[in-house]
Amino acid sequence: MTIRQAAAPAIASRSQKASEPKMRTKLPWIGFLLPAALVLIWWLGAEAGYLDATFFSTPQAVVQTLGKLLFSGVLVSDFWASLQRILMGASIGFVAGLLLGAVTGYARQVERVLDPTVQALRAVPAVAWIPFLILGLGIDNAPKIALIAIAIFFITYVNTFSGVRGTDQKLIELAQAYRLPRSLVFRRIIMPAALPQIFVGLRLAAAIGWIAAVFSEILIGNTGLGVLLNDGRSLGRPDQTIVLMIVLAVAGKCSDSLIRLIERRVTRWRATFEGV
Amino acid sequence: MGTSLVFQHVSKSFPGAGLVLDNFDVTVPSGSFVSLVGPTACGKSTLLRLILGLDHPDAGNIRFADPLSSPLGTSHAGLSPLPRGTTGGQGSCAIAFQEPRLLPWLTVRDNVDLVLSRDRSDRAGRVNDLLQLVGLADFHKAYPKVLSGGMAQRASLARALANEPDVLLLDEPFSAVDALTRMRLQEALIRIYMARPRTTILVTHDIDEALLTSRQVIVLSSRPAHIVDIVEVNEGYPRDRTDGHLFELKTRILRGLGVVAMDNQDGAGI
Repeated sequence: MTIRQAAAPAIASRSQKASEPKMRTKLPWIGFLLPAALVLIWWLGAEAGYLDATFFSTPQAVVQTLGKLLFSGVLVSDFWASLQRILMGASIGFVAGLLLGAVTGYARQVERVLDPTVQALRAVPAVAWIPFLILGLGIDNAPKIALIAIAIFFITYVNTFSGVRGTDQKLIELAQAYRLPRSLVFRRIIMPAALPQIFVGLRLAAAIGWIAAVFSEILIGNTGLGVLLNDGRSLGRPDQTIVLMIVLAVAGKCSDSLIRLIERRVTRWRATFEGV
Repeated sequence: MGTSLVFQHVSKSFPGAGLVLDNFDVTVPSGSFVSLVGPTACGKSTLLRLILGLDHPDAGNIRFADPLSSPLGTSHAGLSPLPRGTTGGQGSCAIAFQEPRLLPWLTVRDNVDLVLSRDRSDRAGRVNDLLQLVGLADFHKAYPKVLSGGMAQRASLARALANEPDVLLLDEPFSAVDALTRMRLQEALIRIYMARPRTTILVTHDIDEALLTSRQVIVLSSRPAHIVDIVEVNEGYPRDRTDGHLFELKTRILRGLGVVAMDNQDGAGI
């Protein structure tokens, strides 16, 4: 009897769960298992002397350094400096890439005029812009923001363009059959159709934003996470470089998660495979 | 009431496909319900595209004629300059496609609202009425992904009716739903037609569907499509699916399509 009583609600709750669209909330900490295991191996390896501390440092030293950098406020201010650059550069690059990609994707005439040039410029590696940017903009904030903006512009442009071109032809035909005005077609059909691809671009853009920021700061920095990284190298402090890599890993993961969260909210209408 | 549709010697060919429509010449009387039946890929959908102005005939023309306000000469072949949602003597048309073609990112309500003429007052009320009409009032906030095939097709029908078109075009709208749903949709279509008999052209493969819904069944040949037979169906609505006279007409249509041999008068070959 007790077994039956226990079983009945169990079945009910299972069928309820199955009807829910996502099982994502189940075991939220499962993603932390792998990093925890790596830290454990690192710690044990350092303790046992298998890992050279002058290269790998130790978890304890890294935690200590993290505490010191946090306590002195250096880490926070440099993090903020990098983040500000990324946000500014990303805004400029994203908006420009979105507008140009959308217009070029929509109008073949514009594509013929603009796209060859954009594709040629895109072939220039983003870092190859740095000397040019330094000559033109100095070594303060401007060239770094410009580099981030340039890198993000191209990735946004390409993804927006292909998103627009990915619009189902049948929906365009529908708009023609109903004689919908062009602005409405653009706003209510083409841009929503391009949205999933635009988000792919945005996620890549966020990653590229961090790369461009740190790279430019290592090269010509006075503030930012890249400077702290570089200091760690020049001072021979592997613990500091590791702290910075961990900070960047966490920051990158957070920005990606934030974008995915927004994406899920904005593209709730999608009926695509979400994984088993 | 409404607009009649006049096809004058309409021919259309496509590069690579050759002649698709061959001298198609018929008048669809205003307020009539006409079905087009014919073999697969015979050019029925091309005909609808020509009416919509998505394609243009190589020869001949298609005219909307309002017997009340304008003489039968008000020609605008190709129809491309027609503004959206025009009503009255100009002749507006709307279509429900074979697939529902709902925008997945818009709710059922917004899908219907999208095509509603912008200068219309009380659009929300109009959308409510339309969804009520097709029985989707409870699903107005739903996204297309949660709709069944039949529901999606009803939403598509509501959208087609949104601007009170003079001519309603239906391109095999019920071909992808199950048999039972199809019967319900056919009944809904007849109900909607009875409430306001507007000029309706239904392209279908389903002869029973054509006989159940139409006043006239135009039988087309295989490509290049020309008219083989025009069958008048004078039964009142709603019709009985098992009606003997309809069965006779069905045999006649099948014969026109070449499915039943000429000498096989009793239709035993079906």
